[in-house]
Amino acid sequence: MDWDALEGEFHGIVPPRFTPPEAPADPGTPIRSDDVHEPVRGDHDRAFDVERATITLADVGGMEEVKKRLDLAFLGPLRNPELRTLFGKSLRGGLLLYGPPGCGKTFLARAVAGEMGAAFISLSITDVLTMWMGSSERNLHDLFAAARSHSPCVLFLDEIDALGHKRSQLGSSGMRTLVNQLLTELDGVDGNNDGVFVLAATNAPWDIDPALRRPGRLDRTLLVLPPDQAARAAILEYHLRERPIAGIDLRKLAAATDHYSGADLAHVSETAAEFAMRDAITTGEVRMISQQDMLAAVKEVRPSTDAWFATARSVALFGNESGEYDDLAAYLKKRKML
Amino acid sequence: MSVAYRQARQLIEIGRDEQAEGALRAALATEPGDADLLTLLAFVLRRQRDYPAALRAVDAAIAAAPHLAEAHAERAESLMSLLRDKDAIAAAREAVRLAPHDPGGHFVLARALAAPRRYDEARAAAQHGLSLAPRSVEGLLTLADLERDAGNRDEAERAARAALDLDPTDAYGRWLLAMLDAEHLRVRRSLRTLRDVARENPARPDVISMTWPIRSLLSALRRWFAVATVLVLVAALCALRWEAALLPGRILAGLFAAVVTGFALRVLVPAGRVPWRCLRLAPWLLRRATRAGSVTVVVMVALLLAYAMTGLWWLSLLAVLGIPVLWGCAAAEAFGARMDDPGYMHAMKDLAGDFRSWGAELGQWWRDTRKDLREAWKGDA
Repeated sequence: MDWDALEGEFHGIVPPRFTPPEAPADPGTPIRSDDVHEPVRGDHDRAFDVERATITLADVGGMEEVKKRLDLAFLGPLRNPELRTLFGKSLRGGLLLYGPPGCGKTFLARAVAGEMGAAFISLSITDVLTMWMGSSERNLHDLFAAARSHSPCVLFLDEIDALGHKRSQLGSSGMRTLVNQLLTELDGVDGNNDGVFVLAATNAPWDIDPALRRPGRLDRTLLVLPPDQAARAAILEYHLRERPIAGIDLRKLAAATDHYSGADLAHVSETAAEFAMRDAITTGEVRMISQQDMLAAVKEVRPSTDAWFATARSVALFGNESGEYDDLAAYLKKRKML
Repeated sequence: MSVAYRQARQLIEIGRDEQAEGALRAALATEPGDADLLTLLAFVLRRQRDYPAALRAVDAAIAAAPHLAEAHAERAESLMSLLRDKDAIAAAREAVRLAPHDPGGHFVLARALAAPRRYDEARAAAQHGLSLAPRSVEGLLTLADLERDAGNRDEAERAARAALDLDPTDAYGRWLLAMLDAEHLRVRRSLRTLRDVARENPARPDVISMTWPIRSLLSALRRWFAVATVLVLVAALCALRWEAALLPGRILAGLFAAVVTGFALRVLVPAGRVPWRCLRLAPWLLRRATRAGSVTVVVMVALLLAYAMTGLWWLSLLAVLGIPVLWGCAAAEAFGARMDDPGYMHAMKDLAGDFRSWGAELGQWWRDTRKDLREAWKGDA
């Protein structure tokens, strides 16, 4: 079987149903990830990539409630200095995004940086592991120094529960010292944090040291739930855009994938493509990914958020005395899980 | 200590067990015979409650380094989780033999000996470990645990408090004190402590422990209330023949019903809603068995009260019929409480497998014996 020849036969005859336009993105187009990286330069950037995000909140499909809250709690005050002065609000403090894995927290953080036209530096678990091995306090200080020197800059601390884990649960003094250093840097003791906007994301906010949640640090939280129906349709459209599909009803699929994360939806698209490819290999005839393939994939791929919500239910029951998880509790009550 | 080992340890400290396992497996791909990595992998797998895999990993560690005491200690822990007490004791003894000055090995041996209730030896092992490390929180809590299992509540409380003096935030020590309070029926204090521990570790609450007021009440009632109900039935049956026995029988029924109600109120009212809310999060069999048991007790009490008021003897008979239901719920509850313990389920599967083998052997023996007997009979004929 000459697959190359077969592919050549179909080239240009049957385009994918949801091919996005080649032109620059308009508001409302599906999700894209085309961040531009600035080259590393000088001592300040030696460890960390400084990026310029070109995506904005308009590129995030659906999630209107989350975008509205981001605007009110974070972006709005930034854009309105007179109102800020009038109401005596300071820009100090950061924002903690929390929620089930794979629901777009990192993507939202990049979109926020894009909205602000700010530089973007992110720290992930890999960087944290490297920090634990080396001179961790120095590395963390350098990170903040890099952010300060590139202000306005969004400093994104991904998986902050790793870097800022509860000190009472850490046996290693080195790891506890790193948390102390993080608190110092967030307070701006060794440098002015004006123009540095700290965003953090985690799947386990309950494992974060309470000192990090105090006023002036990560004192605002935003629950990022699995994508709503509109967002799910947009995510599925994005993942199917370069595949051979026919007769796909995005609305029905979005309705059938309640509580699925973005990562789950990517997996669904991948699985449906596998079904079609397997048939093609077996029969020797290429066929389109159909609605049946998608529905079969939905049956096979279960939402990965269930385990997170099971844990979240315990947290809402036992760990919400201060009311910090009220929005989570409200959502769980709506889902009749509480 | 290799970089991979240190990174894995740090990932374990922040609760990233899956990532630690990934890091260890990646390191073992290049160094498959590294006993330290294998032992840590066994530890991480045990934390994730994959006990058979943990045992395989630690067996590989011992094969690579037979004199590594830590590996033998970890093997003992895995075997304890799989309810293989004899093997666990042997592994722990080996760990102590290889590193007699390491207090950790003695504490593991103490835990292994406590499992089959060899409390005197367990106590001696724990105290030997504490003589090597008097300020060891692990050692004091091991001692507290085994004293509690042995029924020595005061000694258990002393040891637990000594551990908490050294580390007031130790969650296990606080849990242990809460359970000792429970055994002393200090209901409010016990549940307050359990709630505090749950609040500090909200993602990992011990919901089964927080249902103790309901389950302890049912456990107590299963024994003496069953006997009391039978006594009432006997009195009711006697009253059919001797009318003079009717009034005392009715008074007895009323008394027992009042005592059960009073005891239930004594335990459940200070407990509040917490046990009932936690019951909703418990494994499904435990939840249903506990609810069914509670309903059965309520019905039995109502029947006794009805007999006390009316003197109709068949009401006491109906109450007695609740006893097997109560005991059936007890068995389901005991199993349900262990359902989310993979070690227990694995041990049950092994036991079921053993029964199947014995059954097959018995069947084979019977077939062979029958054949021999037939042949012998034909020969004689």
